[in-house]
Amino acid sequence: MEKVKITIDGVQIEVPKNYTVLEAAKLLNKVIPTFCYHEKLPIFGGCRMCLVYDKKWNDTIIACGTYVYDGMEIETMNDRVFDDRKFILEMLFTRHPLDCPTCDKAGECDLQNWGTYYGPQINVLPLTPYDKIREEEDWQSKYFEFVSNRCVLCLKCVSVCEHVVGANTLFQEERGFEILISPDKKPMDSESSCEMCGLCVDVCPVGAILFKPFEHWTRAWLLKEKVTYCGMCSMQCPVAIDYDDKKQKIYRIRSTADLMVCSGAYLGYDIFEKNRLKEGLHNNTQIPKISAIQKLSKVINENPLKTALILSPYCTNESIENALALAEKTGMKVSSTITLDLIPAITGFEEETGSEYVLPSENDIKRSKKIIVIGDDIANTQPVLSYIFKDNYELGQIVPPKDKEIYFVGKEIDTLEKYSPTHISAETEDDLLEKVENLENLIPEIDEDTVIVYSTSTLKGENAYKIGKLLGKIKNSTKAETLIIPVERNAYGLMNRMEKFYYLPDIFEKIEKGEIENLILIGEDISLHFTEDKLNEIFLKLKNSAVITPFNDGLALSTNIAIGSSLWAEEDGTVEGFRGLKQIRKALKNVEEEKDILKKIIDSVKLIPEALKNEEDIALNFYNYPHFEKQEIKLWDFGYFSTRSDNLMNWKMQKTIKSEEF
Amino acid sequence: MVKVRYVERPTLSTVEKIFFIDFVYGLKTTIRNFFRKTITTIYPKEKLVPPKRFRGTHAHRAKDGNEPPSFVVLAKFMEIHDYESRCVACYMCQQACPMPTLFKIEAEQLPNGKKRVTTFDMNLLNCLYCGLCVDACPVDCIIMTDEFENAGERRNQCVIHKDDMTERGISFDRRRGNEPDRIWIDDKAREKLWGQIEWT
Repeated sequence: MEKVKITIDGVQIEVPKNYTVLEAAKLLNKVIPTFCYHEKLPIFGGCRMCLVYDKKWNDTIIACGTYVYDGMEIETMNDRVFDDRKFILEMLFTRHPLDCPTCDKAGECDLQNWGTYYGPQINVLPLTPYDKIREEEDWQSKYFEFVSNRCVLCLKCVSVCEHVVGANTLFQEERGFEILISPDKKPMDSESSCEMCGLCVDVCPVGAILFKPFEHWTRAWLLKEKVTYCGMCSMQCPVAIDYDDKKQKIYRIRSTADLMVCSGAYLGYDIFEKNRLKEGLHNNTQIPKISAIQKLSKVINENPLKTALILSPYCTNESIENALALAEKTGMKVSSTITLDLIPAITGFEEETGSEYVLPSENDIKRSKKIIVIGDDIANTQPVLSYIFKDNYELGQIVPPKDKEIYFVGKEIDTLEKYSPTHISAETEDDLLEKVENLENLIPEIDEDTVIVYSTSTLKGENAYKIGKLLGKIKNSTKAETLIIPVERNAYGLMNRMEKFYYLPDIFEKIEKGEIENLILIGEDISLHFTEDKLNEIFLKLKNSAVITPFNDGLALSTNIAIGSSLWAEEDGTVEGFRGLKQIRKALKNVEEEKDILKKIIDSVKLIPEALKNEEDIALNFYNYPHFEKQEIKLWDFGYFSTRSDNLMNWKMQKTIKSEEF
Repeated sequence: MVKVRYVERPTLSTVEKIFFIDFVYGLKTTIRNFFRKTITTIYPKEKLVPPKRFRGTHAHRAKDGNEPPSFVVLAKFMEIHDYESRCVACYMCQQACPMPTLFKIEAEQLPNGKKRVTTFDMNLLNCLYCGLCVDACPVDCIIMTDEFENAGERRNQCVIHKDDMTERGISFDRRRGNEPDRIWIDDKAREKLWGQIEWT
C-alpha cells in the first residue's frame, strides 16, 4: 500500500494511504473522543464528536471519516477544536434526560465522561426535564430494553447487528431527532431474529440499550473486572467478567473490544449461582467435601483395576493432567465422551491425509472466499464462528468486503439462515455421508480459498470416523482448509493429552459384563450422549459410582458419591480450542478448583504396582452403538451448563412455545 | 538540646506583698462573672436547639411533593410510595464519603422492572460528620438534622437504617421546615458582638 506523510500535532508520521486521520492519530496515542466510531464497524460519521483541525483547509474536520493525504497537517486539540466539541456536547445534552443516578451505564458512559471533560455543561435551550421526553419504544423483551430518551443517535447498535453478528435484528424507525431503534419483529425474544449476544448493549455509548437482568442491581464502578476466555464452548472468545469481590457474585459477562460474545456467556452468566454443589453428597445426603473425597479414594483403593474414569472435555489441561496421573497411579481405565465424536473424526482425517491435523486460524477463515458448513448448523453450535464468516472490516478498509459464498450441507438451516446459504439437503446421517462423498460434484470450485467447517456434534462412532475419512479425501484432492471443531471447551487439550484410552461404549460393555464395578465421572457430559434408559441401566449394574460436578441436580443425584467442583470462571489454567492454547483466569475465589480436588484424591489413594506393569494394548474400533442420543444443539445449548441457566432456559421456552403455536 | 529561657520575676513592693494587690486584681474577672447571668445549660435538664444547618444525625427526606426537578426524571424508574424515603440508590453519597465503607446500600429490580432500595445503612461510628454526602445527593434525600444525641450502649445502636432515617427526616422537616435555611444578621449586630475588622 502506498504510504503518505502527515503531521499530527507537530509529529511527522508515515501511514498507508487508506488510513483515516483517527487511525493515524491512534498510532501516536492521541485521545480523540468518539461516539459512533468503532474499529470493527464501518465508518458512520454521525456524531461529529471527533473533530480535529486541518491547518491546510483551515477548518475542523471529522477524524473518523477523513482519509489522510500527503502533507496533511492536523492539530488534535486547540481552542477551536475544544469549542466545537463542547458545542456538539451541548447539543446532545439539550435532549439528554440526565437520569444518571438510576441509569445503569453511569460510570462507563461515554457521554458522561466526555461531558465532564468538556464541562461544565450549561443548558443552552430553555428546556426543563419535562420537555425532554421523547416517544417511547417498547421492545417487549425480557432481556433488552430501549430507553429512547437517552439515545445519542450514533446507530452503532444497528451497525453491530448488521456487520458483526449478521442477524440484522435492529432497525431505525423515523428520521433525525425522532429516531427510534426497534427490532424487526415483536415480541423480541420469541419472534425476532435476535441471537441475544448483547453486543448492542456493549457498544452503546450511553444507556439507551440496557441488559434487563443487570438493571438496577448494582453500579458499574462497584464491580471488579476480569478479562479471560469464555468457557462455554471451544471458541475461547475474550470476555470481561464483572463481579463483586466481596459478595463473590457475577453480575454480568460482556464482550471486550473484540466484539465476540454470544448468548452463552451473555445470558448464561447465572449458572454460577443456581443449584451449586458446594460440599459432597453420599447417597443423596450431604457430607463434608473432605469425607466425600475419603470415601471415593476408599472405593478406588479397594478395587482399582475394576474402576473406570471418564474425563470431561470441559476440564482445564491442569485437571486433565491430574486425572491422568491418578489413572496412572492406580491403573484405572480412562475414557471420555470425545472418543465418540472428535477422536474418530480426527483419526479418520489423519489416516487419509497422512499428516497431523492442524486447525485453520481465524485469519484463514476471514481470507477465504467460500465456506462449506457440513452437518450441524454451525451458527447454533458455535455462534461466534458465524460472526467471522461475515466480519471483514479491517483497519483502513475503504470498500465494504464482499460476502462469502456459503454452502450448507445438512438437515435444516436454523440460525445460519441469516447469511442465506445455498442449502444442500441431507435428511439422515447416511444421506449426509453420501452428500459429503459427492461434495466436489455438488459444489463447484472447491480450492485453497475454501474452508470446510464440520461440527463434531453431528455424528458419533463409526459415522464420525467415516466423515473424517471423507473430509481427509476432500483435503487431499482440493487442498481446502478443514475446520473440525468440537463443541466442548477443551476437547483438543484432552485429545492431545490422553494417550491410552478406551472407546466409551467398550467401557459400558465391560460394565454390563461385570469387568468394571466402579465408575468415576468428571463432569456430566455423559448424559448428553446416551439415552437416559441406558444410563440408568448402567448405574444399576455398578457397585459404586462417583461424580465430580459443579451442580447438585443432575448426575449428583443418581450416583453414590458426588463432589462439588468449579465452573469456568472459578478456575485458573490453560485450555486448547479454536484460538490455540490460552491461559484462563478465575474471577470467583470461593470455590475449590477441580484440579485441587483431583490432587487431594491422588494423595489419598494407594500406589498400585500392577498398574505400572499393565501394558495392555487397546484396540480402538469405532462402531455404532445403538444407545447413542443425538443432541439437537440450538442457540441456547451449551453443554450441560445451559440447562442450569434461568435466562437461557426462559428464552428457550419462549422460542419453543412460539414454534408449537404454528 | 533544649534551651531553657529564664524570666526574671517582678520584684514587688512591701505594700503589694502585704495586701495581695495582684491577687485581688486577678480576681476581678471572676467576681464580675459571678454576678452575671449564666450562659451554660444544665445539660440533661436543659437542651439547646442547634441552628438549622447543624450537622447532626443523618436523615432521609421522604417523597412528599417538594422534590427537586431532577427527581421527576428518576421517579419513573423507581418504585417509591408517598412518604417513603426518596433515595434512588445512586451510591453518590458513598462515592463522596471519605470513609465509604460506612455505607451499606442495596437495591433490587422488581418483577415490573422498577428499582427499589432495600437497604440503606450507615455506621455512624465511622462517620466524621463532614456533610459531603449531603452535597452529593442528586435528589436532596440525605440530610443532616439537628439531632445530636446518638450515643449508644452497644455498637448496633450506632447504626442507622433507612426506615428510622425517613422518620427522622419527616419529623425534622415538620419541626424546622419553615425556618430560613440560614440566619443572617446585619453588619451592625455583628460588630456589636465581635468587634470591628480593621483592614490595612
